[in-house]
Amino acid sequence: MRIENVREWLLKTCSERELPPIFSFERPRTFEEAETASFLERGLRPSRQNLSGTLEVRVVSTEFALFRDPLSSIVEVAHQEDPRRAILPLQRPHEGSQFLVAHTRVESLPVIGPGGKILIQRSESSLTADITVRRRQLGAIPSENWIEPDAIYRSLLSEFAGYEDAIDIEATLGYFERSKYHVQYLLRPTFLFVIRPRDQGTAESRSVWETTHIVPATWNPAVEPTEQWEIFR
Amino acid sequence: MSLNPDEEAYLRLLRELGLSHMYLSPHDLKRLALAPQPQNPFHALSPANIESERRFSYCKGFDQLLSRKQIRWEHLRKPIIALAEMASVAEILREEAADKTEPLPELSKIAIAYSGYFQRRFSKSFFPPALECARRAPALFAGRLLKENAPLAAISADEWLTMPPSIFTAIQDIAIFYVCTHGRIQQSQYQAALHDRYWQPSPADFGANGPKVLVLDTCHGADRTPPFRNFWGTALQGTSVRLLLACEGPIVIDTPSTERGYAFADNIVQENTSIADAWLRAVRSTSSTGTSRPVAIGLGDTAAEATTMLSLTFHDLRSAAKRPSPLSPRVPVQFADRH
Repeated sequence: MRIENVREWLLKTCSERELPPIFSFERPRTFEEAETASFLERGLRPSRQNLSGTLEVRVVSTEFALFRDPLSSIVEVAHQEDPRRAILPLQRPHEGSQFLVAHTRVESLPVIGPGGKILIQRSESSLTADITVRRRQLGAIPSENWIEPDAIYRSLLSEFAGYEDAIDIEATLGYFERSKYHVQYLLRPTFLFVIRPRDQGTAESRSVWETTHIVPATWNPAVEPTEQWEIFR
Repeated sequence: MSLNPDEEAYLRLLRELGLSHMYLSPHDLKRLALAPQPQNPFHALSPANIESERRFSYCKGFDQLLSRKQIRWEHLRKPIIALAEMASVAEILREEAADKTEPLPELSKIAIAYSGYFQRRFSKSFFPPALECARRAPALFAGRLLKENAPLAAISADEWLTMPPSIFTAIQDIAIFYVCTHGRIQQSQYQAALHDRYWQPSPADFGANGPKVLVLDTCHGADRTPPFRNFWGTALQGTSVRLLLACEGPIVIDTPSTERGYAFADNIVQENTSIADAWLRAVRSTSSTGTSRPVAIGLGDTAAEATTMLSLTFHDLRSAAKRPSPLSPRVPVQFADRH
C-alpha cells in the first residue's frame, strides 16, 4: 500500500478486533537431565542457546538411522516448549532450498520477526534445527489500549520523508519474537511495516531494497519500561 | 586374572571417558582406583566440560553396570591405575600435537567495510536511503570473531570507503571480507553503493592474494541466473575469492536482521560447520521479514572444486595446508551453489 493509506489501515485494524493481550516469557532455561533423557529417547541431540535458552538440535548423517521421523519429533518438541501456540506446517521457503520453516500463531495472530518459528536445514551431512519458540508464562497481561494510530503513522512519515512517492508498504499485525541471540521478556502485539521501493526495475536493472519499521501495537503502563522498542525505529 | 563382561564394559566406558574424550584426568582415575568399592565416576568425581547428553548416557551406563553387582573391584584397581598412566602419556602427546596443529591466527584475518550514508547528487533517478544499520552486521561479525583470535586487519566506512583501491591494498591475504551497503543490478552487472558512487567488482580489485571468502551483505549480491553468473565469472576469474556469500534479491537491513553478522560469526566457529551453511543459517535465523533468500556460491577451476568450497570451514582457512589456492586466470570459473 502507499504510505498515505497506512493511517486508514491502522484505524481499520484497531477498530475491527479485540485488544490482543501481552504475554511474559519464562526466564531462559538451561538443560535438565530429565529433559535430556526425553530428547535422547527421540534420538535427538539437543542443546539450549546460551543467550536465549531456545532449543537447538543437530544430527549428523551417521545418526540419521537412529530415528524414523526427525521432523515430527522436532515439531513435537517445539509444541512442548509452548503448548498454547499453534505451529503451522513445515514449508520450504522456495524450490530447491535446503531449509524448512514452520511459523507459529498466538491468539490467532501470526508470530512475526526473526523468532517464533522452527528453522530446519537438512543436507546430506547433517540436520540442524533452531526451535526459536520461547516458553510463555501462564496467564496474560491485558493491553489497556492500542497505541495511537496517528502517532504510528506520523513516525512512519517522519522516517521516510522525501520517499513518500517512491515506496510501498506491507503492514502486518502480529506478535514479535526476536532471534535466538536475545533474551526476550515480553511477547507483544506489534505492527511490522516492510518498506520497499515502488519501482522494482527490470530483470536487467534492479535496485530493490528492503527495510522495516517495527512498533508495539498496544500498551499497558505496567510493562512499558521493560522493553526497549525504540531501537527498532 | 580374567575380567568378566561387566568389568570389561566398565573399563571400556572409563577408557572412553579418560583416554578418548579426556573428561577424566589421570589424577581422577587414580583417585577412583583408591575407592573402597565400585564407584560410578559421575558420583565420585566431577568430570569436566562434559555435555549434558553425553553425561547422561555415560552415567546411566555406569549405573546399569553397578546395579548388576557383578563387578569385583579388586580385579579392576590395577587396570584403572594402568589406564591412569596411559592417560598421563596421552595428555603429554596431545599437548605436543596441539602446539603443532594450532590454527594460525595470521591466516584468519578479516576485513570489514560498510556504507550507511550516501550523497544524493550521485544518482538523479534513484538515491538510496541512508542505512543506519549498515554498520551493525560487519561490526557484530568482527566482534564475535575477535574472541576467536581472528584479527581485524582492515575496516573502512562511509566517505572513507573508496573502493577500489584503498581497502584492497590493505586486505592482502585476508580470510574473509565482509561488506554491507546497498546493492543493485545495472544491465546485469552487480554494483555496490558507496558514499558517492557505485563500485562494480573486477579481477583487479581482488588479485590472487585477496580474500578467500567474499560476503556481500547487500541486496542483489548474487543470483543463480546465467547473466549474473557470467558477471561473477568474469569479475572473479584468477582472483583469490573461492566462496561468495550473498542474497538473491533484496536482503532486509534493519536492527533485528543485521544480527546476521553476529550469527554468521557464531556459526562458523562451531565445530564441523561449513562457512556456506553458517551464512545461510545466519540470514534465515535473523531476518525480521523472512523474505531474504541467502545463497552460497562456491567457485573453482572445475565443478568438483567449486562444490568442495561449499564445505570449506573456518578451520580450513586457518590451516596453511587446507587453505584454497586462487582461481586460475586461464580457466573459466565453475560454480556450485547452496541456498
